[in-house]
Amino acid sequence: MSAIGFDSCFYARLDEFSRSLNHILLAADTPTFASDDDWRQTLELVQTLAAQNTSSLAASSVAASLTGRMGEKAFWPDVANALVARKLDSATKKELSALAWSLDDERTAVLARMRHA
Amino acid sequence: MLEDYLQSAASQLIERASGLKGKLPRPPRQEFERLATQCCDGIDRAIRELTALRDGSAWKKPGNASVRLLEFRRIASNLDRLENEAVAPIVRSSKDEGAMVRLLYRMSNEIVYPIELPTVSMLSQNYFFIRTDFKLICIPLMETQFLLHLPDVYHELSHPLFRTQHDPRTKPWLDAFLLAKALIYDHLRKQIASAENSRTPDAIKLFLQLARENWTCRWMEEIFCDLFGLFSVARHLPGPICIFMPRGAGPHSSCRNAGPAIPPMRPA
Repeated sequence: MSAIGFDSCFYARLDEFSRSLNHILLAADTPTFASDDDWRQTLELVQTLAAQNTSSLAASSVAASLTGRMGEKAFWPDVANALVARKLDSATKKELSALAWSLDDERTAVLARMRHA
Repeated sequence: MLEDYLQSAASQLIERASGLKGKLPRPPRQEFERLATQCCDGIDRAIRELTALRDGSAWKKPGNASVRLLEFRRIASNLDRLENEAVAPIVRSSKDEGAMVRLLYRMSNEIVYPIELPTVSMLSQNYFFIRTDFKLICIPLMETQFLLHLPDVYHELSHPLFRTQHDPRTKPWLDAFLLAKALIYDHLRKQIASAENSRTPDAIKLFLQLARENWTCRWMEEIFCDLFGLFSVARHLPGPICIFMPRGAGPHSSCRNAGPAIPPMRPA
């Protein structure tokens, strides 16, 4: 039995979070670039990474896969606070950039899993 | 150099994307109508995003080169999937798909399947599977003549149930799923805490963490899909399961007196 059913949806979830996060990274210089939805989605992912709660199906599954890839880190609550205030300093931007590349790595892994499932 | 690469690669990808629409069959085939519409929407979105990436001044700032590359990789990956996984099955389809759609429709009626059926492709290269984002179930070519794997078809049909939102038809199913997920997460969290406070070997600790991540991420969904497959075909099988599932009753309704409780798929 193939797990593509899960992975194809997981890919779509990754894509949504990845898109929003890219816009947030761009919005550090050009605030109008990110929509409210982008801020909300990114905050949801970071809050889930910080607390590992399971309130959202999409965020909890993506966060679980990223925890394996990035390890559990203590700074997510600080990043979440910066996202709430919509003010990203260089340290926060660096962490979010690392998160964006982790999402990219995870997408590559999901694609490989789907092709060789 | 990266700037030049992204400018020309984005232009080429835009051209490729619009060419993809030209591959869709004319006149359109009814059984692929929804998927073809989704493909066109996805292609339009990708072209919009690529155009912004190529021409937008914010994207072109040197400080944003890294995020611009990330965004390009994301869009290119989406277009690859559209081309290989959604447009190709439409372009290469035959009359077999129509027969399978009719069969799936009958099967879904039997089990009172609660949501709309996925599109069918007979070009599976990997047994049965479903692409839930495209709502496309892929079935091996000869399966119309050797349909021996009904539980697996039902298993795949249950994956889209997890993708529904704000839908009373699947709310009991999703509630049960989230509850099960929370319970297993809590159980493993306690196991991990207990292992941390004892002389448990590191290998076991690592295993517990992996188990927690996998249960949260994917295993629970697969278990639920297996259960859906099992209980959907159980009504056709002799044996203990049938005792709990009287003929004529919805296979997802729980029995009043005994047996495993499966959440009802329809509002009571």
